[in-house]
Amino acid sequence: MKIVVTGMGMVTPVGDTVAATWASLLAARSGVGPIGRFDASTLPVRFAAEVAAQGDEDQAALKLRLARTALDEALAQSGALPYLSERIGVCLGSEAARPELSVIAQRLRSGTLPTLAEFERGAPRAPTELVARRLGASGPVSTVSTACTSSSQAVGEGVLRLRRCEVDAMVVGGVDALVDPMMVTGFSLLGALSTRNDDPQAASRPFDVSRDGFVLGEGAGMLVLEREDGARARGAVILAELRGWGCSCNAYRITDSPPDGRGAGQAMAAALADAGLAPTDIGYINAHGTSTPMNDPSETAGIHRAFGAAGSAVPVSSTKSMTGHLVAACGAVEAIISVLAVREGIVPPTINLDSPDPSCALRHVPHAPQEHRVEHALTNAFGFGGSNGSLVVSRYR
Amino acid sequence: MRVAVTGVGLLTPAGTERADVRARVSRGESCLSAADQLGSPVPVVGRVEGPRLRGLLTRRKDAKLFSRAAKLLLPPMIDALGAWEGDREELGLFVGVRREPADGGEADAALAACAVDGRFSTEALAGRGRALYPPLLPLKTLPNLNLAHVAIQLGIRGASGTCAGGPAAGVAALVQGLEAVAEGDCPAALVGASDSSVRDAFLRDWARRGMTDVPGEGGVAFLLEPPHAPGALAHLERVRGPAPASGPPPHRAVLGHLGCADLLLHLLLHAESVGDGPHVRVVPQGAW
Repeated sequence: MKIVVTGMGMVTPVGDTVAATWASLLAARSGVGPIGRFDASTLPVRFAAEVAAQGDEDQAALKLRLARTALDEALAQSGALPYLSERIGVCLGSEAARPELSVIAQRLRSGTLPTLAEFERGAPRAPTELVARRLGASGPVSTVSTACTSSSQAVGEGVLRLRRCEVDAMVVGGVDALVDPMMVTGFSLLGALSTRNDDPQAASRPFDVSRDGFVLGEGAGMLVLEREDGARARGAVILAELRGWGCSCNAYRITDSPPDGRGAGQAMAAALADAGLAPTDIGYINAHGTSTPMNDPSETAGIHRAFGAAGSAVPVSSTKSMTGHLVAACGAVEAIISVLAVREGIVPPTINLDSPDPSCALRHVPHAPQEHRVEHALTNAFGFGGSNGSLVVSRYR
Repeated sequence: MRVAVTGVGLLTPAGTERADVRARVSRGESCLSAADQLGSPVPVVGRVEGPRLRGLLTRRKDAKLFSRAAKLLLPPMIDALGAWEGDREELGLFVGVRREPADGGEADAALAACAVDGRFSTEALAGRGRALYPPLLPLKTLPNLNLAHVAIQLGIRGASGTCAGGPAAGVAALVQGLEAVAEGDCPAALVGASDSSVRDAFLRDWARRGMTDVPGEGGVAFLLEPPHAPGALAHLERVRGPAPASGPPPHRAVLGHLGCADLLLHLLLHAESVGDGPHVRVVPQGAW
């Protein structure tokens, strides 16, 4: 049974649509810049990969708009889903958003609290419920919150539900919008963010020897998934096959990745096994590649564990070098990028990769895109706390 | 789709022994106590004493990274896992969480310090706000960290997932674990949920939501294995469609509402089935 992609939509710091994002990635264009949404001049990190905000929308409103925009694009591509509402499900990756900070700060000062409605808008499940309402979907609706692995797991959950024939279509994906003063402060205190304030566009540099942390980003990615027979019966255009899914835990430390890449390698191996593929079948790896000192060598070790000798031959890039880290949305956005790489035969680059770290010895794709015939691509997402997810995307035949 | 329950664990205001908790609930013996927060909008709560993690952790300093919900999850997970002798590299782990708002009020002082003339000031945040901001807060409040702590302390590396979505999250995690075992993704799965609504911002939130149940806290865990595994206490079946209607769980009156762990506790104590949509039905074995 094949699970296929029939619609895709996304909003990222480098484009408001799938086509615009893909064009930016192939042009090696960075979406990172000085924070424009609020005055960050006194904060230790003053840049991020933002999407354009509208009016005075707060973090929760921005998340809902991003989810709605990506969903509408995906549905425009997939066309109407002619299934019973109870046979359509939704699974999104999302984290909590705060109400508008001025509101919280002012009310805490005066001893009152934001309203319940303000908190409900920021709940992790709020975007999922919005998507389900907009779709009229009354099938299984769920929200995954495993930090940066969230939407990768949501896509995997959608694949499993379709294989079990619980549903006829799933809308899966993720959304996040964490560029607010508290999150920038919190991640700064953890030492997780790059502090390259003097050159923001060079700050996200996965696998480079001078990388110093990730760049906070925001956006959304949505995919429409169906079984092949259903998609063909309704005459849908099939974009790719979602062929494999694997996940694991590091069981190592809360903040660190294991240097031996054990958990990451286990997720990749599980995804390959689920897809029924050998490491040599994979033509591209879209790496999690966060640009933190810890993640990149650990992921490299994981690739070598799972791929063996093939790990040195497969082209690897991290599009976070351009989009920044979209946290709960990154798994879905990067799954879409992997679909495009398979369809177009072009591998997007890792920009700013001037001096590859010797501890990240891989076949990198630095600075500019490369043409490769990619039958199968693997995309990784690894979350704080050690949750790992890997997806295999294949050319549809 | 069916699996065996071969281990259970619970941590409730009435203790950790299932038979004892069930008996106290059946007798209607209250385990509620006065809310200790001055001026609390809720007079009584179902509070768990402790738990003491000393002796349970691989590194003692890890304790400072545990949220209340994570502390309530680890002991029942250890009890449910028991002496399971399989390969923990392959053991699945599925956890339900309900963490809304994003923290239990730990950032309130920092946020309050950032209000200048009725507006949020990033300058104030960079100064006194930053000084008041708990540096480990993000490590305690990310939703997947309950799962991460259990994985780290018990060395579990198999298929995993954290389900968020209000009180139903525990059942969602149970369904995921059941499916993972039934479909052979893992040889066994540890599944659980924990929650706490008895302190700080959660109590205020409880009152604002107009919840009529008494807020409580606790954790519940199950070890699931394939149906023919020896030592089954019960079987669980995933059934399509909503569960038959039933009244509120009787434990809520004497233990409080355990948030996203509440329905799992109900399943463990009295319920024949829980969940909407795909629901889970229990098929008792022996002395279940």
